[in-house]
Parts: sequence; C-alpha cells; structure tokens
Amino acid sequence: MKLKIQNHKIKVVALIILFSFSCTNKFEEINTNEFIFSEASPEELFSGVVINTLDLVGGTLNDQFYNTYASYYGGKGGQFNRSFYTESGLDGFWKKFYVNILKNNQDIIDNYENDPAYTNRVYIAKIWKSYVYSILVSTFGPVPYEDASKGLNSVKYDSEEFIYTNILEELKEATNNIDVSGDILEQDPIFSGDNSKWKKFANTLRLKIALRISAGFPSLAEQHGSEAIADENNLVSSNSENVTMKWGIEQENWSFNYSRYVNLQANDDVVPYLNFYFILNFKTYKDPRLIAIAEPSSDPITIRDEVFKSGSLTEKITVEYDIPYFGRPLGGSAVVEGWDLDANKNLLNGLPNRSYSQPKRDLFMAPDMAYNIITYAETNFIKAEAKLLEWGGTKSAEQYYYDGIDASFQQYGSTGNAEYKNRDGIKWGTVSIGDRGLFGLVTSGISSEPLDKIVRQRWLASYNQGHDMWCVQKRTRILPLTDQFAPDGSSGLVYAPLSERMIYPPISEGGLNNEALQEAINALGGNTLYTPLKMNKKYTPVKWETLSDIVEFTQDFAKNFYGDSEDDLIDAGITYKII
Amino acid sequence: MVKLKFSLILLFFPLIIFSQKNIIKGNISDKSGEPLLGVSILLKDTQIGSTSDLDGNYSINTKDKTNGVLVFNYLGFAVKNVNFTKNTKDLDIILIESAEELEEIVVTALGIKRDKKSLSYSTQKVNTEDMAEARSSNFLNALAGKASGVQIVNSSTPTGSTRVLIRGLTSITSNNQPLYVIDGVPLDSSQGDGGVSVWNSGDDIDLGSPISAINPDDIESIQILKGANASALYGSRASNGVVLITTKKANKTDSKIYVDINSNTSIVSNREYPKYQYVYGAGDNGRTSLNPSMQDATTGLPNVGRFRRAYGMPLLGQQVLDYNGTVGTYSPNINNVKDLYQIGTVSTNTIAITRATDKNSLRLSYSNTLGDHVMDRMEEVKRNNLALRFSQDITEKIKINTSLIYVNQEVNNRMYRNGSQRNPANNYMYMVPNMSSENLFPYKDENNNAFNYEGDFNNPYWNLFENSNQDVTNRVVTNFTLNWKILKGLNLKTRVNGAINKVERFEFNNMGASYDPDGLYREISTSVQNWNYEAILNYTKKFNDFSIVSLLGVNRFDLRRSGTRQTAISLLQRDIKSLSNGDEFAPVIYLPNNKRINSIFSSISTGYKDTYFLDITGRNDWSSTLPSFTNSYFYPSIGATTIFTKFIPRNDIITFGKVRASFAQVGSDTSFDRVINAYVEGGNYNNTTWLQLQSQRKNLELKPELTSSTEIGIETKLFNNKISFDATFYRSSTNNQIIPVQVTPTSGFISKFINAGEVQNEGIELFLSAKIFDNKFKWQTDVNWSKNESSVVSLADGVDRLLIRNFFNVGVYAEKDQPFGNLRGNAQATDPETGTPLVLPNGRVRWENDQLLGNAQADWIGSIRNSFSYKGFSFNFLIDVKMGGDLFSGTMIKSVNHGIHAETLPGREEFLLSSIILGETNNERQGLGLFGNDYADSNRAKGVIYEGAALGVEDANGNWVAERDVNGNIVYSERWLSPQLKGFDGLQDQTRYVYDASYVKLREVVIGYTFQRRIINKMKKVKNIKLSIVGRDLWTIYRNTPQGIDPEAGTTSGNGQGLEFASFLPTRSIGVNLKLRF
Repeated sequence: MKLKIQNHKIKVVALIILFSFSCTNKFEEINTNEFIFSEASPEELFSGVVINTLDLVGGTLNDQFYNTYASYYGGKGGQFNRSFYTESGLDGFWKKFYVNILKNNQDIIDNYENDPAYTNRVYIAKIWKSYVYSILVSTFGPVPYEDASKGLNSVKYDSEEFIYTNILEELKEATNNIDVSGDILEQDPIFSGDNSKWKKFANTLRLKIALRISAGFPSLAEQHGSEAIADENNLVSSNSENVTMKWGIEQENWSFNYSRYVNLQANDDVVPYLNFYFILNFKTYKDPRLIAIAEPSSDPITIRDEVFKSGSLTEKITVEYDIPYFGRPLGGSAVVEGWDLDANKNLLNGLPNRSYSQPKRDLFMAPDMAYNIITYAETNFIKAEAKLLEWGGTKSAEQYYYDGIDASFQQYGSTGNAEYKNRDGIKWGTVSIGDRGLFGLVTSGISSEPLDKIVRQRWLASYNQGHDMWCVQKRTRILPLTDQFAPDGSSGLVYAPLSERMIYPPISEGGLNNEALQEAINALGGNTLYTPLKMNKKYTPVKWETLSDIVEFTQDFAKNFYGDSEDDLIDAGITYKII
Repeated sequence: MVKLKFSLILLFFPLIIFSQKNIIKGNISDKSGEPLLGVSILLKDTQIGSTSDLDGNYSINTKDKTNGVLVFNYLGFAVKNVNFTKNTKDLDIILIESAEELEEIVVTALGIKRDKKSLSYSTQKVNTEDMAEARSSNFLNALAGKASGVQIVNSSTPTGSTRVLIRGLTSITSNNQPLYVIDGVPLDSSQGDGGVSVWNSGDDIDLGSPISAINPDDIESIQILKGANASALYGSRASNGVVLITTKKANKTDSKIYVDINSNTSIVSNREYPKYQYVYGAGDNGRTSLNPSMQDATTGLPNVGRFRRAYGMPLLGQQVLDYNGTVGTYSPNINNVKDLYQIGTVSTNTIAITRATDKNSLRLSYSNTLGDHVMDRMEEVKRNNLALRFSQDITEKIKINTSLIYVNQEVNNRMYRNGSQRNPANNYMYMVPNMSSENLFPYKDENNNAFNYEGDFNNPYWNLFENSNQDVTNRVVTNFTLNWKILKGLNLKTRVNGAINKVERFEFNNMGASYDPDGLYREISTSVQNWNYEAILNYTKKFNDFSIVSLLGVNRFDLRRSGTRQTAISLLQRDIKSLSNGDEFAPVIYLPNNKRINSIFSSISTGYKDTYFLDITGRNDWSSTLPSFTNSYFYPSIGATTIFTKFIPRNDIITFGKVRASFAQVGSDTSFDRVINAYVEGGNYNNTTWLQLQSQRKNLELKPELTSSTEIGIETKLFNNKISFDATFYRSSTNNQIIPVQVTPTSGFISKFINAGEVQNEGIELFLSAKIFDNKFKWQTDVNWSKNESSVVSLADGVDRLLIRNFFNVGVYAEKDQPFGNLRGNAQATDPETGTPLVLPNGRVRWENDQLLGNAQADWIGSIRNSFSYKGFSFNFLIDVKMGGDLFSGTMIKSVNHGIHAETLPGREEFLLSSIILGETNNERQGLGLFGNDYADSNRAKGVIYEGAALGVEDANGNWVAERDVNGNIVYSERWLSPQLKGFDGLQDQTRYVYDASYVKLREVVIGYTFQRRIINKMKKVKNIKLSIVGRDLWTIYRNTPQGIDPEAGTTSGNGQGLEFASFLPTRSIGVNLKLRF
C-alpha cells in the first residue's frame, strides 16, 4: 500500500510537469474539421455554381419576376403579381448571386488562373462570370463588380457601362483564347467537355449582350456586336449547340416548377398560367407550337361565337363551344377606374383559375426540365436584328428571321412551319390586323416593320427565357402589351407598367454596404422599380384612363378559335352547341 | 478497467465491516421543547456521527469508545459539548439559540468548501426542498424564482430547453447558459433547440438541455456562483456563471441501512385557451361564396373548404359543403380547439438506499419517470435515473470519492415547435369556428394522402398519427477523486471526471403530407465526451491572527463530439422508418465539435483576525479553438471582505454584518473550427459531388473574449438571526466579443467572425429571509429581487445593429448604445407634429417600417416563497414575478388575420349591414359618393375605423402628415373598413401585437402532512412518511398578454427573446407526492 501511494505521488507530480510542457502541441489538429475539404477542384466548384445559377435564374427569379415581366405568365397570385418581391426575398437572391454563385466561381479563377493546366477551365469560369453579371446588371443596374468577391467590408458599385465593357471584353478573350484541344472541364454540366461549344457560347453571348445594350450604349454595342458576328462560325449554329442548363430527377436537383407546383400540388391560384397576350399571338396565327408549349385547360372556358354554317360562305350561325387554350391577363379581370365598363360583359368575371392554360407539363413542369440560356432560334433572331443594325452577317435579315422560325419549330418538334411562315403578318413584308385583347386596347396584329416581326418571333420562340425577353421589351418597347391594371392596392397606382429594374436588397445592402449603395442610387437617380436603366429605351407611360373611348369588353380574343366555319369545328372534332 | 474493478470492490466494502456497539440515544429540542431535526452529533476526535430525526430523536453508536465528548451542532444554535461515560445510555439535550455569527460552509468554485463569511463575492444557495415534490419533468424549470439574479424562461415542452440566465447576457451570439457542475463534473450546457426556427426553416425539434434530466431526488444542494468573481477559477466555460449541484450522499451515521422512497404522480393540462369568436364562420368579406365557381357543382352549396379565414357569414346553421365533402351545417363548434387536447400524466418513482460507516458511505438510488403530455402520442417520456455515490477512507490520509450518474431516456414524438407545418399544436391559430374535430377525420384519402386545406392550416391529426420521432439518450456522468492529505494543512486532490452522452434519434414524416408528399426519414446520432483531468494542491494554515487558504492546480478539459446525420428526403414506401426506404442515397453529414483547454490556476485567501479577508486568484487557459498566437490568456481576480460587526458593539439589531468588494476577469474562447475557411459539400449534381466555400468567413486573428466584472455587497443577519438580508451591486462588461457579423454578400460571404463589441451588464440583487414565526407554528419568508440591464455598448466598426432573430420583418436586435433586445417592425405612421395616426386613402393603415416596437428585457424579476408549518402540516408556495419586457405575438397576428380571434368581432355586424344588406361599395364606406361628391350618411358605422386617424398626405418636404383643412385643423378620417382588412393591417400596424410581458405567477405549491410519530410507530420499520399535494404553474395572477399567450412564451431558449409564434398553450400540473423512509 505504501509503495502504491509513492507511485501515485510520482504520477501526479509527473502529470503536472508534463502538463506545463505539452500544452498546445495538438491544438491545430483538434481544431480542424476532418469532414470538410481544404481544397476544391474547378469541377467540384463549377457543378455547384451551375446548379445554383439554374435554381436562381432559371428557377426562382424566372418564376417570381422574369416570366411575368416577359409576359409569359399571366397574373399569378393576384394583384401583387406584376412586380412581386419581398425584402427578405431580394436579400436571399442577392446572397445566392454573390455568395453561392459568384464567389465560388471566382474561387476557380483565383485558385487556378496561374496554372497553365487549367487555362480553358479558367476561361469557362470567366464566361460564366460574365453571364451571371449580365443578368445582375440588367436586373438591378449598377452592381458591385470590380471589388466584389474579395471579402471586403464595403464594396463599391460599378456603372452599367463599366460592367458591360468588362464582361464583353472577357467574353472576347475567352472566345479568342479557348484552346479547343486544351484542358477540358471534366463532368461539364453544360457541354460535356466540348471546348468548341464553350467558344461558341462565349461569342454568341457577346453578340447577345451587345444587342441588348444597343439602345443604351450604341458604340460599345456595335464594336463588340460586329466583332462577334464577323466570327459567325463561332456562333451557335444548330439546335444541338443550344446552351442549356438542366435540372435532374433526383429530389435535390428537381426543377423549381416541379417541386413548387407539381410535387406539392399547389392550389389553383398560385400555379403559373400562360399570359393572355402570349397565347393570343399563338391563336391568331394558328401557331402549331402552341400545343407544345401550353397544356389544355382542365376546366375550359365556354364561349359564344359566330361561324359560317357548314358548307356556306354567307350564312352565319351562333355556336357555343369550349376553348382549351386561354391565357390569363395580369391583374385578372381588373379594369381602370373611369372606363365605366359594364362588368357583366366581362367574360372573365368569376372564372375559375383552372380555365386558363398552364405551361406544358412534360416540358416546363418536369423534374428534370431544361432551362435555355441561348438557343439557335434566338441566335437567328439576334443576327436578324444585328443585320438591321448593319453589324454584319452573311445572310439577309429576312433569311435569319425565317431561319429563326424554322429553328424554333425544330426545337419544339412542331411541323407546319412553311404554312406558318406564309401567313399574313408572319411573312416578311406583310401586315396583319390580329385579334383584339380583352379590352380592345392592344391587338396581336403585326406590322410590316422588320423589327416588329423579329421581336415578336423571338418572344414566341423564347418561352421561359423570361429574363431575355424582359430585356428585349425594355430595349424595344415593341411587343403589344398593356400595363397591369389594379396592381397591389397599397402602392397607390391605378396601373403598373413593366418594371424597369428590380430594387436593391434593402437588408443586406442598405444595412451592410450602405455608403456604396447610396452612391450607386445617386448615380442611378433613384431606387424604385421605375428608375430607368441606361441600357433601356426610354419609356413614355401610356395614360390608360384616357383611352375610355376605345375600350370595351370584346370576345375577339377567342373568336374563331378553330376557324371561321362550322366545318372547321367539325374537322377539329369539337363538340359545339348551336344557339 | 483496473480502476473499475477497484471501485467495484470498494462498493461492497461496507457490507464486510463489523464493529462493536455502544449506543447512546436521546432527544434534542430547543428551549420551547420543539424537537430539532437534523442536528449533527459527532463523537469528538473521530468521524463517528449521527443526526437527529424529525422528532428530535437520535442515536449514536460510539463503538469502542466508552467515554468521551459528544458534540451537538445545529445551525443557528450554540454548539454544545457533552461528556459521556460508559453508563450513559440516554442523553436528552436542549440547544440554545446562538446569537453568535454563523459558520456557514458553502461550496465554491472547484468544489472547495469555504466559510461563507470569508467570501468576497456573492453565491446563493438554492432552496431544493420543494423541487422533488412540486416536480417538473424538466428539472431546470424548477429553478424558477429560486435565486436572485437568475432568470429562468421555462421550456415550452416538458422535455424542451430552459433558458437560465445569470446576471444578464454577456455574449451577443452565444447561448449565455451557465456552466453546470455536478459533483465536480462540468457538463455540456448546450441547448437542444439550436435548430428550432420561427417558421419552418429548421429542424424545429427541441431536444432539451442535457442537464434537465437530472432527478431532483438525488440533489442535496445547489449553489449558484453568479458573477465572474465567483466563477473565475472555472475559467472560460464559466463566464455566464456556474450552477453547482451536489448530489446526496449517505451521512455518517450509525451504519444502518435506510431506504427512501419518493413517489409522485401529476397530471398536466392546458391552463387556458385564446379567446375565440364563434359568431362568424369561414368566408371572405362577410360572404361564403364570391362567385359561382366557389359553389359546389352538384349541391350548389358554398364550399367552406375554399376559405382559410373566418370572415364569412354569421354561423346560423346554414347548409354548406363541409370539409370532408359532405353536406354539413355552418354552425359554431366551441370546443373545436379544446377537443385536440387531452390530460397528460407524469409519474416518477424513486428508491434510494443509503448506508454509512465511519470509514465509508454509500448511496444508491434509482428512479423511473413515465410521462406524456397534452396531445395524444406527443412528448412521451420514459426515463431511468441511476445515481451512485460512494466514498471510502483508504487510510487516515487517503480518501476516495466516486460518483456515477446514469440517465437513460427515451422520448417519443417531441413536438415540432413554433410555425412548423409539422407542429400538431399550431392549428389553434388557424382553425375556423365552424370546423370541428370531427371534420378532421378522416385526415387522409384512400391513397393515404393528406387532405389539403386552404392556407397554413394542416390537419393536426396527420401530424399526430403519421409523423413520429424518437430519441434515446444514454448519459453517464462519472467522477473519481482521490484526496491525499500529505501533511497537516496540505492536501492533494486529483480528479478524473467525465460526462459521456450518446443520443440516437430519428425523425419520420410519412409520405402523403400536403407539405411534403414524399415524406422524410432522418437519423442523427451524436456522441459527446467531456473529460476533465485535474490536480489541485491545497494548503490551509492558521497562525496567530492569520489564516491562509491557498491552492495551485492544473486542469485539462477535452471535448470530443462526433455525430452523423443522414436524411432520406423522399421515401419509397409508407410507414417504413429506415434509411433504406429513401429513394436516393442519403449522404452522411458529419457534426464534429472538438476542443481542448489546458489550464493552470492558483488562488490564495488570507484572513486576519477572522475579520478581514483578501482573495486573489489567477488562471491561465490555452484553448485549441483560438489561433496559435492568441490561444494563451491569463485573467485574475481580487476581492476583499470585512466583517464590520466585529468592531461595533454587540447589539440586538445587527447580529452579523459584512461588506465585500471584488474585481474579476474571465477570458473566454470560441467554438470549434472558426479559424480557417474550407469547402463543404453542397450536393450532387451532374454526377459530381459539388463543393462550396463556407459562406461564413473565418478569422485567423481571433482573440479571446474578456469579461471584467466588479461587485460590491453587504450581508447581514438581523435580530438574532431572525432576518437575513443580503444586497449586491455588480457591473460587468464583456469586450472583444467573438461575433459572426453579417457582411454584404457582395464580399462573397454572408458573415464573418470578428472580435468586436462590448456588452455591459449592471444590476442589483437583494435577498431577504425572515423567520416570522419560529415556534410550534413556523412561518418563513424568502424574498429574491433583482434587476439587470444588459446593454450593447458597441458592435463592430460600422455595424450599428445585429439581427438576432426574426418573425418576418419583426426582429430582435442588438443595437449600439441601446439595451439589448430591441424589437423592431412596422408601425402605423403618425403625423410628426401631433402624433395623429395616419391612414391611406382606402382607409387602411399607413405604415412605416423599421420602427422600435419594444424591448424584451425585464425591468426586474423577483420571487416570494412562504413556508408554513404546524405540527406535521406544512404549506409552501412560491410566487414568481417578472416585471417589464415586451413580447411580440405572431400567434395573435395570425389568429386575428384568420378572423378566429374574438378581437375581430367589433364592426362585423355593421359591415354586414353596409356591405351585404345595403350593398354599399368600398368607395361609399370611404366616404366617396358618385361624381366626386361626399357620400352622405358618413357618420353611420359601416365596419371598423381607425379612431382619431387622419388621411396621410405628403407635405412639401416629402413627409407624410395628417390632412388639414384650410385653417390648419386636422381632418379626421371617416373611412370605414371591413373588419377583415383591419385584421390584415396587423401586418403593417405591428404595435398592436406587442404586449407587456410582465407576470406574477403562482409557481409552486406544496401542501404536505408528515405523519406523527405515534401513527408511524404502528408501522414497523417506517421512520418517516410525508404525503403532499403539489402543484406547478397553477395560476397566472397578473399579466397583460392576451389569454392563451403565456407572457413567458418565446420561440427559442437563445438570445432572441421577445418573439412568440405558435407557442404551445400554457399548462399546469397538479399531483400527489408520497415520501417514505424506512
């Protein structure tokens, strides 16, 4: 026993001594999380960058802003819809853009830029950076660019022009310097490692952005636009070269639309419905692509129509039948005060939401649906416009225009393009009156103006590319659309025009980067939805309430859906009732 | 292993000891003849001792000593030495109350026992008497009102996390929970509700505080070390104070075996429900059908299921298409919410065996708890507690002390909290008055899919019957201490102790829920090991007028936490609770958390003439969580005490008095892995596991946090110890807070860790204890009162506020130069000159965002405990008070927004008349007639109106002001609104739902009867029986929150206090407790 105690004594003293000398030698090891990674390859980072971009730009933002701004969606969620955003929502988008997407993308550039084994991959990251900034700058206006992603406490904003100059330059460099036989991006989520396609993406994006800013910064636009089109072999030249991001069938990669609207069986008033005017432009020209884009309504609206009696070209009968494809206007059936319209004549009063058409389920609601960044059809319409601007191009504007329609039909697997191209209004140089909208304020008519034709076709061909068409409309103001009548009651507006931009996130920027933000707001001249961007064409507001003499409820939008004769109804196999 | 064997041998030691017998018996009473319980009797110069029982009877076995001196010692009485001889068999003793100062021994930091009068800081002993009787299945809840300066926010479920805040919060972002030390073992005090969100964005299951499963029957005493001054020796982990828990052990008595039994059964029920309206049913703007498409196609009846809100028609029994698709009546179901609840039961049975000899002591206890709660299948607890304490004197000089606590707990179906869609209880905010609990069955269709409802309502029965979760905890807390008396006055104490906690849990959400049709299955397993190795050299010496208590010690603390989390986010089949039932591979997420702190510390206390005392301590820590060049930090404390009654003449008023002052610093490290950034797994896309940079920027330059604290105090005993009164004033400030500040996302990060900011706490604590009657009838009152103000002196450079927690736009903030916990949100805009509230042209509220709505901090807290006893009867009750502090109620916003709260009734009749019967339009209700004329009859009420409000108009400077007429007088608005719109306006006018969260609660009541000797004598062997009726949380005596909203409610046990959303309805428990000793 005695010996044992002595032993203890020695042990204790030894412990104390040991202690004082071996204080901190394993600390670093203890404080390291062995389950996370100290390094990440470009592939590991880029896959995350792409899925995050897809979820945000092609998912949430497209759903919440762009598809409505492009008049692809009709009123979704009622009167708020036109410019719906919440402060915390904006904050979340901002974080996704700058933290999840841009920072991780920048990390590829910062870590691998000086390593020649990664040259192409660094260019790919730079292309992506330009793409993402092209969305940011056209959505918000001036945003942090030069000083962003550097961990600074205060980050200055750069002007639209500065950002466009830089991203166009980066795209130019990438187009010129990607070495087709050089290093490839393994597990490339966009082009499966095809460097030539990346090259084409860079050049086409450069042309597209150049066109986008052609109203605001004409000389910058022309410089890059003509250079890009001069390298026409490096533009997207078939549907197989379309630049597309795809969601996946695993739940974590489900598309926004599938997880939000299909999987959760969202109720009728939140799911998206196709826009009234969008559908109208398909209906007027009997566009075969309609059935590829729209889902027939499950509870169709019944309309009363006048058609020629079967076999007759003079005798008319009144019939009632259901129309399966019908779009929803923004703001529902709301009218402008002072028009003094008889609400009983409004076909839309009390109409269930289900009567409107939804986007085609297998294409736009599928878990693994695709989101297009650039398509071949779009490229043709861009080239057609570039031709009008005399930037160059080997074909005529007319030819690019027709090529665009053909490419779009091919993209949707639709046939009948020859017939379609021959219709009044579609055919180059022709005019059509079109159908009147619900109030008769705008029609689906197309003038003989080349720009009117090109933009209209680009709109119809680019369904779900909400951001692109928003930018096109802000630049051209040529699509025949109305404002949203009776928007959110508390805004004090009688009607809301198309948003010129999105406001800056008040929490993260106003709260955390306020000085720089205020500077940017001063430079921009305000921070509202209607503060114009330099890239946009100036908007002259329409005073809708003064149009009371032309406004009336019409059913023209639905008139002669299947044709102007009873025989057309019979041919289409439609059940109808003669009144 | 060797150690274990050794312990096992010792465990059986008491049974093989035999010795001689020489028993002295007697009775001990005071002057009035009242028996004294618990008097300690010690055979002088030995360790043989005994204590008196309830009737004052004692017996002591002096063994081989046939003469000597017995020392009778009882707190508040003079010590009495009585000689005995061989013939002494019966010895009755009368003890005389002492007017002398008391020698009150208290346990201080590191378990060092000190004479309380020599301490230079305040500690408070918690009254543990009622804890085992008026039980809470969550032991920490029972601390409420037990000590001054200690604020308890009760857990919202029996198994949830309790917030214990000692002297305010020192850290803006950490949980500020004290360090719990059981028998010298520091425990992990992390809270189990870190993942609980306000609304649906977290795990939303509260796993409780690990400490809350302790069995109160095993607790001997609880000592609270409040400030840095008291806890400085514990170092980093004690910067929020220490709760020292000492478990029971066998007292040195006469080697008899005692068996104690405590049996408690309580019922738990809802204490109150919100005030609902049962006049109007589901609908919109006074209607049940807005257009024909809302009517059922076959029956033509309005389909009530189309509406989420109860702003419809009067409930008059009309025919409607009811919730499950059948024709039903539109009538009130006044028990629709109550029917979702039941009465819960909790029963606990404890058996403890104690035996002690002069060489060793042993106590072994086992307890079993079975409980459920107020909702079917929810919160089912099965708990087994085993506690063992054993001590053995190996030689004269070497003693060992061991303790072991084992807790095995299984909880089934913890309730999801707050706004979670999975919370079965939050429907009380949404359930319209015409919906009955029968309407909720069946809750699924033939394909096992949940029926869908409009809005946020989810069928509670789906959540009750289709979802489940379970956690099984196995915890061991063990301590092995070896005391070696090297020389007289010189001791070496070496100690190894550890706490091991393993939790296995799963969470299962069946397929078919409307909010998650694919279901979910998740398994989480965590293992936390917490080891302390300590050696303390202790030297005590008295010479001349000086006394010295000093120590030098080293400690190593090791925390190793490992855990995994795997989630199958969509299931293949219903009902199968397994990861293999996931339709995709469930990746493993690892949850490591490791830390080591090495420390060296020393303290010296000197006393002079038993009148002046000086305490000095110092400690240096090395923490693995800090960067290498800042990971060593030293902090000191110094304190002085003077017993001033030593130099004032003896008098009848002040019996004892001392003043004390001290200053202390405590350094604090940070959490695991906050130094170097790395990449984390984001997911799998395109067959690539993608990584992303951590979005929180770590910091290579972190320094330790430092809390400096000063306190002064006075402690007195008055009128011959009849009254004790203590007062303490303290101020502390914590600098270099390690906080994750939000940064602009454009930097590439969401937040980063920095050292910044200062939080100051200032407060007063008072304690008064009075023996009002002390004869056969006894009445003692204990009063605690304290006030603490936590304020934010500074945050990081350029950061004026930090958001701590939010319910949409309503946030709890730390704001520079402000008291901590400002609540901000939307408020009605007012005229800057007159304060007149403003409305919009449509009569609805004009609002401004980011307005100060209140502050969650209490002005003061306090408690009064009264205990009465007469003969065998006793009656104790505790009243717990909190005054001041605001609470924002998200529940009220929702239940008003949904039109189910009685608050929405005013104006409905008038609106129906205006809108449905007279057919007036919105314009007309807003006073606008045709052709721009005013609408006549503007005075008739047509709904609700903002009283005294005016139209807001923009003045020349762009400010919103009240509309004025040509004379400059305010034109008051006569814009009538539908009550529904006013209800909706709650989102803008959020001041409506901010309430004063003061309360006075009857927290504990124990009415007991201890059976008289003569009754017990008939029962062989039984020594003591006490039967009590007990109650907890019986009555809210005073409060200003609406009925059904507990002023204590919150969404977290963290710092984001002051927000409530879908909190559980307040409960009470009533029970019977039986205590038995034989």
